[in-house]
Amino acid sequence: GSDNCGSLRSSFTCTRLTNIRLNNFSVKSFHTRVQKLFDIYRDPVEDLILIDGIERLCCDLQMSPEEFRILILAWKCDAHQMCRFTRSEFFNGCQTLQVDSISLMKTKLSDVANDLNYNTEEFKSLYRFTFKFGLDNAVGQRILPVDTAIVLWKLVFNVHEPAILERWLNFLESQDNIRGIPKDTWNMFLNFAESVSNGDLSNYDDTEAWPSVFDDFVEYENDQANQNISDKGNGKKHGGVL
Amino acid sequence: MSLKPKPINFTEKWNNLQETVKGVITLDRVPRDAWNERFNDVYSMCVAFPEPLGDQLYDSTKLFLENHVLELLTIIQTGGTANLLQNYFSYWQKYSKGVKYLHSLYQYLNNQHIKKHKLSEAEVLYGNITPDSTEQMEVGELGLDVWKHNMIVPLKDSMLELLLDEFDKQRHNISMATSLDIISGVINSFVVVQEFRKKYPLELYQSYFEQPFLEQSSAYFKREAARLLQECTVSEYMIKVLQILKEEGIRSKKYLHDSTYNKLRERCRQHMVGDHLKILHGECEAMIKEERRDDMHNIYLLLREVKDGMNSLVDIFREHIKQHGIKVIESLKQEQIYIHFIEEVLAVHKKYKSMVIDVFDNDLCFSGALDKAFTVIINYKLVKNQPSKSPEYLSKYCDNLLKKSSKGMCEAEIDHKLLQSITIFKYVDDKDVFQRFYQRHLAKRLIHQQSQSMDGEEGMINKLKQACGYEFTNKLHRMFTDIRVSEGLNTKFHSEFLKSGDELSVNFSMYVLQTGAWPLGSLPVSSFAIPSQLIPCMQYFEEFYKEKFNGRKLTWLHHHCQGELKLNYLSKAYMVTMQTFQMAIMLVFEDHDTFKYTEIQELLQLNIEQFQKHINSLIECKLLLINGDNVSLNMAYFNKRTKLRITATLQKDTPQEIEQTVNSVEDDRKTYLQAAIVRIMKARKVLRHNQLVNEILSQSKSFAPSIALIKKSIETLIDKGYLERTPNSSDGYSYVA
Repeated sequence: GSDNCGSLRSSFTCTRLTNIRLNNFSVKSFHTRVQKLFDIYRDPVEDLILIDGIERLCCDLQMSPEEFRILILAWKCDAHQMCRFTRSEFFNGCQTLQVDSISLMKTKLSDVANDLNYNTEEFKSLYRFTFKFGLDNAVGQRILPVDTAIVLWKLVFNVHEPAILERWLNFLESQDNIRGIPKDTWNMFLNFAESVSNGDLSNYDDTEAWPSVFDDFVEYENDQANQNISDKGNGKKHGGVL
Repeated sequence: MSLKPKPINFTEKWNNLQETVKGVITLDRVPRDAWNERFNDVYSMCVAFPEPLGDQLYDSTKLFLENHVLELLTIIQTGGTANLLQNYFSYWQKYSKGVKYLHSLYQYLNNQHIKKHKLSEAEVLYGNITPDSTEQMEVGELGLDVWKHNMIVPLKDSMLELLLDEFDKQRHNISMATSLDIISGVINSFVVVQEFRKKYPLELYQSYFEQPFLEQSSAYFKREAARLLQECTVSEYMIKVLQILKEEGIRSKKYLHDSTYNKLRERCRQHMVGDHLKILHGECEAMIKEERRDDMHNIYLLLREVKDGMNSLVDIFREHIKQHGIKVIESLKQEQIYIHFIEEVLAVHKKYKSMVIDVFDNDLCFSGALDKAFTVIINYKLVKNQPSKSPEYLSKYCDNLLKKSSKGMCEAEIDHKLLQSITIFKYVDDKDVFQRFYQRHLAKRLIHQQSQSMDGEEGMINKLKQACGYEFTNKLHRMFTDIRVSEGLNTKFHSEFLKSGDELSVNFSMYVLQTGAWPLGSLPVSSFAIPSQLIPCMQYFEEFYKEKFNGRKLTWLHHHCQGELKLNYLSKAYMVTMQTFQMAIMLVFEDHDTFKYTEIQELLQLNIEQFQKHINSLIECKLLLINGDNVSLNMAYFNKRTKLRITATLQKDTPQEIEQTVNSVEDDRKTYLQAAIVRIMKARKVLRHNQLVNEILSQSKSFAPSIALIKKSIETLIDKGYLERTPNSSDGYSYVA
């Protein structure tokens, strides 16, 4: 009985080993191909892809560096900082995307961009990543400067722009006393944009848990609207007189 | 006679008994011995041998009473309708009395025979056994029951008609045909005849009389209301209705059972007030605007017991006060505005307070409306988005009263005014702002010894404590303690110093004040080269203090100090009280009469701001003269008084100080709110936004935090990582440990 057992065990071990060897082989070739890809764009001095490399990468992908799909790439790589990929970030990104060539990367990024139209959970993850990505880690930033935030908002909402976005960004540009966008405000903006998805602010309730900057925004918008009404009223009157 | 049971000839005994019963029931003369004998007969029949004859006795008596009442009925009926009530009443009086006597005569039967078989009280009230007609009653009750069935039931309709007619006449001021005691007696008989019943004793009264009576009354009230509203104004109408209510009340008390009183008045209120609320409410606004006190009192009396009747009156009253108050605030004179603000607002308060008491019987609804209106008035923002000025004004008002300068007022008057200011204080939302101002004003009074009296100060603080709690006045108390301790310290310092044999060149006293308790700032406002005359006493004191309290750090706040300077270089000697910096400037001129402007500043090392402020004040009061760059002593200075004070101008509230006070409150609030949120969340772990906000609102006693401020504090805490939003709903927060 014990012999049987032993032979069984050894045969099992054997099959597993072959499997691993096979996997190792494909993994190894994938690994080398991605590493080679990284080396193409790598900075001559540091083991990083920097601005120059990113520009070349984008050029090969036939995309602009300020494009939504590049943001997706950064997100998939879980890039720690803007304009910079470390070797491991780049490798992880390619692994998640399952790509080992430029042409494959190009199609995959477009696929993901399309998927994001439907997959709100995925989009939320991208959206939240974008805040972290936008912070200047070199100086330990915790709050996004308003102008950076505006650029990132425009970028991240590239696919489906919320109805409220344009007015929101205009508001931010018009205010000079907003010191920056904290993480909570950034995250909550996605909920806010959803709750006023038709662009109608009349149902907004400032007793709910919205960050106060949204209260200010809605008040500002309502003031604007009231002014417009009275302006229109005046205009009409004027026209009547004429 | 023997008590032993024996055989009885019932017919014989009953015939005898019947005679007596007749005598008793008609209140005829019954001889004492006949009564006694029949009393015994009842006994012997009940215990008769071989068979007790109690049942037989009962039946015969019942039959007899029925026949008797039927006879009476015939007599009453033949007496005619006109005399019906009167006849009924007189026979009723006789009969009911007779029945009572009869009851005594049958005492043995009642006690031994009937009570044993009767249902107990509990069985009647709580069991579902209904006493049937076959059950035997005690004889008194039997008599009444017989009367009910054989007299009241046949007569009820005609009697009711007559009674209602009488009431109708009375309401229309037509003289009544029947006297009061007859009507009330007849009605009372409906009650008495069933009074013995344990269950629904008023049933007969209610169904035979009360119900139809109330219906008739309702119809009358409706008609009358319609007629009066046609004929007279609302004011007159209200007077009439109150009159009717009163009359109906009296009528009900006079004629009817007590239980009808409220029902009748309720009907009257319903049909004359409740049904016409619209008209009455329509008049509220005008009468309150014109303050027609009589009308207001009347409408209050009418509406107070009608459901939802008073709400709109209360609302209008509140609005009226609010508008009046705001109008007063908006048209205040600017000069010494704080006095006008407090006193005129108080006048408004007094007026409406007395109105609540006199016109609205101090009703809680109206005093509540007064409070609500005043909360709005006192916290009214004259300029939008700027906090209300009332905390500042109130503190200034108190300062003015507590200062030495409040001349011409006796102590009682000042005390009264301070007490009144508490009335305002209670309405102030931003109590923390008031606290800040008060603390600053108090500090100035204490340091510059300007308080009228320490008792007065302490009294006021106690009043504030009563109104807002210990926490609120804690700092103020600590300020007081500092002053007291410093007094002791001064005495000690001087006595110890005397022992040492040294002598101080100047008379010196100081206050040692705790940093946290005083609104002074813990740092000197400027560098300062202390005049040599002052250095020794400062050094001595520092040594003395270090010895006493090792490890405590002393900081000299020269800008809060003052000194008395004797000017000997003029035609007469002056004693001038001035601030330390001013004094230092003057002391520079000890040896020379003229200096360059910048030279003085260099000597004293004061910063430009402080130096300018103080030297300008000296130039303004002409102690110094300025000529180009040169500053010199004014040798020709003259003043009628020899004692003067030139600190006053520097002690006034500057706009910066006021702004600074308001800002520091803002910071305090943020800190307070953040601490409160963390405390709440630590205890509750997870809370929805609204719950958290409400919790905070209920905890903030000394100010009413704005929602925006609460939100900002929450955001700060999220940012700092104390809180996070609950993952599944963005409407809640959880505490991050």
